Amino acid sequence: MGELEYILLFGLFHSVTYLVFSLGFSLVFGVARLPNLAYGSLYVLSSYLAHALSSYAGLEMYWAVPTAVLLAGAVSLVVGELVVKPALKMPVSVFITTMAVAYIVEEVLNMLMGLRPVVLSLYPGTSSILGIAVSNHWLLVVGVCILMVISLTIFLLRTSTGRAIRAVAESWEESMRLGIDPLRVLRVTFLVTGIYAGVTGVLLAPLKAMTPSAGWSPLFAAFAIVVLGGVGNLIGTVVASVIYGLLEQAVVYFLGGGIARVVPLLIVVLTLVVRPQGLLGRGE
Amino acid sequence: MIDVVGFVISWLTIFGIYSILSLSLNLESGTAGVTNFGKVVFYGAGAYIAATLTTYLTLILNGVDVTETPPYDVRGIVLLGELGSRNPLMSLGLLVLSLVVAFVIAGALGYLLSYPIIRVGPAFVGFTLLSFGELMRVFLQHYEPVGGNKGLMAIPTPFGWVAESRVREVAYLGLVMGVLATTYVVIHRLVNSPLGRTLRAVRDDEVAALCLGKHVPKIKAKVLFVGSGFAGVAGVLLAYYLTSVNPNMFVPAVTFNVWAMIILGGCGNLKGSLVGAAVVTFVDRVLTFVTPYLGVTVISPDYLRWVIVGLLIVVVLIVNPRGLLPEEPIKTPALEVVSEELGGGSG
Repeated sequence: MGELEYILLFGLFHSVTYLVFSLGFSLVFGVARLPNLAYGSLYVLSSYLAHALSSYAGLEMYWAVPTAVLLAGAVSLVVGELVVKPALKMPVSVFITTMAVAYIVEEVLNMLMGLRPVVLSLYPGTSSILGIAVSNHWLLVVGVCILMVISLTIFLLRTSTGRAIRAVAESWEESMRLGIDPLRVLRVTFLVTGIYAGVTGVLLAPLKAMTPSAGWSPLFAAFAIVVLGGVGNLIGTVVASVIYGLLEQAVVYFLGGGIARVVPLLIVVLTLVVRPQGLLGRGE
Repeated sequence: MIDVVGFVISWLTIFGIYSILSLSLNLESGTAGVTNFGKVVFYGAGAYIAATLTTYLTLILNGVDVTETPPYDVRGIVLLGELGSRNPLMSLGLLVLSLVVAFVIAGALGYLLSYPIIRVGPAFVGFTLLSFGELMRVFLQHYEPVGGNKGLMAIPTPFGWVAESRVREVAYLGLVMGVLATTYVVIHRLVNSPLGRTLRAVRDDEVAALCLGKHVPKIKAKVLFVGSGFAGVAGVLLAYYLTSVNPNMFVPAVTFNVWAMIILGGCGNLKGSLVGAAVVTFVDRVLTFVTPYLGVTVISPDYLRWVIVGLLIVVVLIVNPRGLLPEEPIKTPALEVVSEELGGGSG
């Protein structure tokens, strides 16, 4: 019985972090119509920045982490302005340019920091849930993530900027007719999603060893979740994240971490063959 | 002293292999508009088919029991080194066999993969094929008969029986150039055929092409068959050139490299693909050759490759999104007659 509880608990913990990460990915996907492949590198970049700020610049952790997250947001904004906006007219180019950014970030980190993984310090202490010892850091992660999902939902549903984002995701032409500037919305989207990727990065960095190429696997996971849940479908994304997190932890537990990388890829392929519009999606 | 001849030979060989990839990608993406971000799947499949066929068959034909000494085993590798260069006829026969089998299997793989992807938009096609690439890599890493993580080594080369190493290199270069020329002619004919014009129509307006009675999914599947087949052939040439294959050679970065070539050269222009391949492989080779002479170990020039190629693409896309050699208007014999008559009439 211990096994099942273990998988359920950590599966749900992972689900929440995947939810935050894939919500950001999904938001850019909706507004820019194309996946931002540099999204995974923001996740890595923020934890490296936090590490650099705390160990080289001598900042305290509670200053270094928010600064790193804001910097990740700023980098995301720059990526959106310099690399995605000029390429919007040739859709395939967004793929290439964001992939180029991802590789540039990866190689620059390789050059500056080497291949040694970066580990941030853990929030101290452990608690016991259902008889399983859980690091307090996980509780912090889950708490922050739930808060972020709720605030994003409120932002999208209740504020005028959030409504503008949803309008642009629905139709660029229609929203322009309503007096919304899609490029401004694009800028806001890149800033917000950069912050979301950055937060996931700094939260998970103490739990997973962060290497320059660590951004790819959450990126594939986010794509799998978005495909499974249906593009632009909030509830679908929540359901898909839970399924994904539980499935991944079960595979890691029974078959080992190496094979677990197959999970997102198989989900994508099976979903596209069986139900291309996603679990709850309306199709493209 | 820097070995200039060696540099040129290795650059031209790598250029030839990558040109085959970029030409086939240009057929799929530049002409037909299929956003194939899984080029590495078919390239890797070709390389592994060549490696597996050659190593296993060399051992079996020489009477070695492969269940006891498989080619990924240390003893197998030693045996391959001894047996590989003995029989010229067998080496060449295995080359031809690998080329044919790789073309057919990689092509069939492309044909099958077109099934899930033709139903979704270009962004999904790209990401799904990217996922397939990773799926294949994980599979290869865990599949013992092809060596798992270590891969296969000591693959007997087709010209292993030639004693002089420089002659061997030149002969191999000749082979690669021959295959490249064949690929260019075939794809050039395809692009300028009625099928090629249909492909452009599909790329520019899928709905219009459908309305004119073109079966878009079937056409895309056909293109993926041809393009993937040629990518498989490029993989075969790579496997023989490096004489070893391992799963980590076939990362998504390879696909990115090929895309860089066709974007630099210009989507939809075949000569542009050659130019793009020449530029990217030149950067790559220069960095590889210069590394030992720099004596720098803190910053590996290997890392610089991605930074340079990435920056090149971003700059080209911002300055001139159509690439160095933009797509040319279609020329047909009938069109030439008409334009000549018009030109003659007015002049």
